[in-house]
This record gives sequence, structure tokens and C-alpha cells, in this order.
Amino acid sequence: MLLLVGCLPGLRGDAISSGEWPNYGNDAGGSRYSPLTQIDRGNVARLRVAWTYRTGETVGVPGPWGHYAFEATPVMADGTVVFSTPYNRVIALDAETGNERWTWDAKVDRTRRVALATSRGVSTWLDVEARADRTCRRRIFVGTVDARLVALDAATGTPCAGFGRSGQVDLTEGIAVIDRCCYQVTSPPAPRRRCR
Amino acid sequence: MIPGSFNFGGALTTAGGLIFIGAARDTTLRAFDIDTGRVLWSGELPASAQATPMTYRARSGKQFVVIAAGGHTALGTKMGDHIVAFALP
Repeated sequence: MLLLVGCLPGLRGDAISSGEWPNYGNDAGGSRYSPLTQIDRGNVARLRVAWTYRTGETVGVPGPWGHYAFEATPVMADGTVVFSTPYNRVIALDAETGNERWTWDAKVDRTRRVALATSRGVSTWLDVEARADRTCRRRIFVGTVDARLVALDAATGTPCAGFGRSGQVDLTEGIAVIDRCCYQVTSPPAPRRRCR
Repeated sequence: MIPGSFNFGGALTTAGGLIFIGAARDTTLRAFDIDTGRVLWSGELPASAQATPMTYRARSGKQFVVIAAGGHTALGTKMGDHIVAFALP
């Protein structure tokens, strides 16, 4: 219980009150609730498409890889919308215009069978102790369908060299994998600040 | 006929008194009145949205509601590669 109390400041939503959506479920608890009120019951009927972005990833036919679904819920921080595709291309867009800022491709082997090619999105984490101009001060984390955990610099999409090996951790290292067919990533990673 | 629709995708709730849900097998994002459950708005999508929508406020102050319209091969819904953002004009 004491540990939990120590963690509570990390759960408080400063970013959320600023209008961002920094986690898969907005707040760290995953409520999928937003305090924004510009769109309300009185004006929602006037809602219309502001922009559309296409990933270009149109592999939609079930094959040796099983099923395929683009199910991402983007995150938004620092004016950038970030999400991932079923085969783990990570894409960052200008939150205002939908214009592409950067993309990063995990280069997953698409000929290998996976049970379900889907990525429900990415996580973001801010290193509050890092200097403002430091690379990877804000990171994007993504889990790949071939069992890698990857950290990218949120500003550029470049892998964070200080994380794992060249920005990646092989999640099967030290684990006897019997059949990779059935590995699935059904949620974005959940970064947590160390409790002090 | 059995009412309803098998669906994949969660709800977004906002302080504007709205619940946004895609999820169904058609190509629609719906906004419901949180108190009455009445559908107040339906947005047409280029594909089915087997995903949970999100919302944010951009630097201009404009609020956007965003959803992935990608379909799902297991549901047999219309496939797409779209991220669609809605806002007030």
C-alpha cells in the first residue's frame, strides 16, 4: 500500500488536462475518459472529417499469418499523434493537420506465420530528468508481432541507442519458444515510473 | 432476427456528455448521449473500425476525435488502412 501511495503522483493527469492523450487508455489507469468539452451534445451533429491518413499497409487477406486487423488507438503528446500498424510500422502525424512527421518500420518477416497480425498501438514515456534537448527524452515504445520491445525517439522515430541493443530487446531471449505461431501482442506496453 | 451486432472495439467517454463507439460490422462511428443512449451523430468511415476511438485538443484549441478504420479479417468486415480525424467545422 505504501508503494502504491508513492506512485500516485505518476497517475495524476497533468498531460490529460492539457488536452493530450498520452496513454493507450488516456490516463495511466486506462479509463478511456477525456475531460474535453468542445464537442458536446449540442454540437456533435455538426462533426465532420477534418483529415484522413492512409498507412499504405493493405495486407488484408488471411493467409499463413492467420488473421489481420488494424486496431490501433493512437496516443497524442507534444502535438504529435503516434500509432502502429499490424506489422509494426510506427507512424507519427501532426495532430492538427494529419501530415506525416516520421515513420519507422520494424521490418517484420511477413512470410512467417503469426496467429493475429494486429498492433493496438504504442506507448509514450517522458524522461523528466533528461535535458530538454536530449534525444529520447520522450520515447515511443512498441511491441512487435515477432516478440521485440522497441524504444524510439518521439521527435524523430530513431531507435534509442541506450535501450536494449540498438533500441531493441528480444523478448524471447532466455526463453524456450516452442511455437512462434501463437505469440500475440494484444496491448501496447505499459511504461511505469520507478516508485521512490 | 437477433438485434445488435457482434463487434470489436471499445468506447471513448467525454465530459461533453458523449460516448463514441465504432466497433460494429458496418462502417460507422457513432456518438451516443451518455444519459439517454440516443445516437446523436453517425460518421461514415472508409472501412469498419474494429478499434477504440480517442480524442485530444490540438495547439489551435480544436478538439479532434480520431479512429482507425482498418477492418478485421476474422469479422469479415470492410478492410482499410485509414486513420480518420473528426472535428467541428
